[in-house]
Amino acid sequence: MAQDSAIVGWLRLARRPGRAAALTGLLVVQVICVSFFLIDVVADLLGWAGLLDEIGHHYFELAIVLALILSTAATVVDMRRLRARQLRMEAQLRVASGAFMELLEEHFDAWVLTRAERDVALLSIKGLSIAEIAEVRRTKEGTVKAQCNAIYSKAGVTGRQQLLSLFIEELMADGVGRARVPA
Amino acid sequence: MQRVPVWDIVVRATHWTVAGLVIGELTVLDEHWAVHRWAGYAVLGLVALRLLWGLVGTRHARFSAFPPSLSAARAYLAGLLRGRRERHLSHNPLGALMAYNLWASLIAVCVTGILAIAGPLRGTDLVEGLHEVIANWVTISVVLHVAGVVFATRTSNVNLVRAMITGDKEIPGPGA
Repeated sequence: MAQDSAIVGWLRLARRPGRAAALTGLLVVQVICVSFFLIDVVADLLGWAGLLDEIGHHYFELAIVLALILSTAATVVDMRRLRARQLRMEAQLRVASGAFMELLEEHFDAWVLTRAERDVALLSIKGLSIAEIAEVRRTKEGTVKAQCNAIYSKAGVTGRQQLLSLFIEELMADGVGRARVPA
Repeated sequence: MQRVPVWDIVVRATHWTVAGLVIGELTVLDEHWAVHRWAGYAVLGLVALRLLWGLVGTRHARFSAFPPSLSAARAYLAGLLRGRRERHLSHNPLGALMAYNLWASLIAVCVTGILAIAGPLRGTDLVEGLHEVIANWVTISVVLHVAGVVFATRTSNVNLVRAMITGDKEIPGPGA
């Protein structure tokens, strides 16, 4: 529904169908009240009399005030709900990132990687090429290649692909947050 | 059977509220003066909301989903008579014309009603006569509308009344 407007996005905020119905009922009441006030104002401006007598202004004023109070309350509730959801998602993202780092650290410990090898391993997992890693660490490409080979050998893998898939398998196996040290 | 969400809550709420008010008007509400005007103002506001929604609403509710086209309506009718069964997610071309007719007629009847009791033309036979004629036209249109819905339901095999209540069109055939 990429073509729908922002107003429709508002409608989607009301996730449960009952809630959407209640909000729209509110909208219908407000629209009817607005019709009255608009007609009243226009009639006054034009000097026309007799459009709204006997209809009871006060009932509509009361109705519109109640509808506005309910709408305001609904908006506040929605804003708080959105904020809570945002905080929850940010926390989950932090947990996910943090746990993944923990997973990496545990493996590096188990493989007894040197300080330099840990850095290179991290950069390699992040996706930097040998040339880029050499630039970041201000060493020679030959040095980086040797370090990578040491890492692969300590990890028991044949190359960067396998190193990456090792971690991906860990993530898929028991989810992020429970880092397992390989046997 | 496939269940496709078509009519959003604004379309359905305005449709049934206006339908209720119009039918009430045509039957009993006409007797009571204040209620009669109340209903008129309410219908005017709700039709205005629906027209606004036709510009900024969900995909199937927008005018672009069912543009007014005499040729399309004629083709649709001709196809039906020849036995071709069509299905439209939004209003079919004939139903679209009826929708535009009802909206225009309802606005006209409400506006002539207002002009009959206020403004420079109030109390004139012209405006009161117009109001009555258009009201009769609305009655005829409502009857045609109901008949059309029954007809379209039969020929398309989709329960259109239920769709306007739940919002989903239940399209028979293979699929989710």
